[in-house]
Amino acid sequence: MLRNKLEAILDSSKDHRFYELYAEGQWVFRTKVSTGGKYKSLGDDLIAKMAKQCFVNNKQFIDLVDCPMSKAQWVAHLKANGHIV
Amino acid sequence: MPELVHCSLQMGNSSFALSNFASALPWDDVSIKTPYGVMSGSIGTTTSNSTQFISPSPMKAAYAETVEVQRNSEERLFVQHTVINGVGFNVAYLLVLTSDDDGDGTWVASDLFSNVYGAGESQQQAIDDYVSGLIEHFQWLDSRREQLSPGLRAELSELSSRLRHIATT
Repeated sequence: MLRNKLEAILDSSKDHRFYELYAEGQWVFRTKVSTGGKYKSLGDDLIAKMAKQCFVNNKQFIDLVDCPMSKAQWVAHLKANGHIV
Repeated sequence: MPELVHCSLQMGNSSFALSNFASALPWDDVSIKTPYGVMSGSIGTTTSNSTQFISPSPMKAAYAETVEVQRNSEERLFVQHTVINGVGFNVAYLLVLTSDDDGDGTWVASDLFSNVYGAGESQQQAIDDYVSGLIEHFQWLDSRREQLSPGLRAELSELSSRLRHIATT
């Protein structure tokens, strides 16, 4: 979702894997992807953290993943809430 | 099953640590059991001059110790404080929370001021992951400070007030 839908860039050059998004002339978000063997499916804890890093609530994050929320809708949400200008 | 472990880290003197610690708790009148002693009474007024609340270890980048907070025989919180040390940064007034809310065996460590989290199969793994991620994220933000969205800029500002680079020799 992060790469295909939001067109985020995967940075795995250091100890952690981050998806980063540069859009409209600014870095918009950066979210870490945990890669442990037990994390193939995200638990509620990790969903909450990744959602926070994407500046959305848990439901909105799940909507992003499951597709009801489009990238354009997500960007509109960020603008409406002052996360990007 | 005890309530979720909340990890309260404070660096600084014990009295200051306790007063901040107290504000995060839902109870007023409790007994606090640390690895170094027991404090009882209203934690809002308890002084801890005779009790060392934090005992940093120079041997580990971060570690956590469990503190038991008990109000009566049935209500207890298990609280952890974490000390981060020796990683090139001094982290001031950090409050780290570790939890496994959904019980899936993955511990998550985070704080109250950034969007950084760490994950692991134990609390210590989660905290170690959090610490390295915190510093890496701060450095990433700091190197792009002119190109950050307002959301990330606010996060950098908050991190800048809490992370102080320790000069290396």
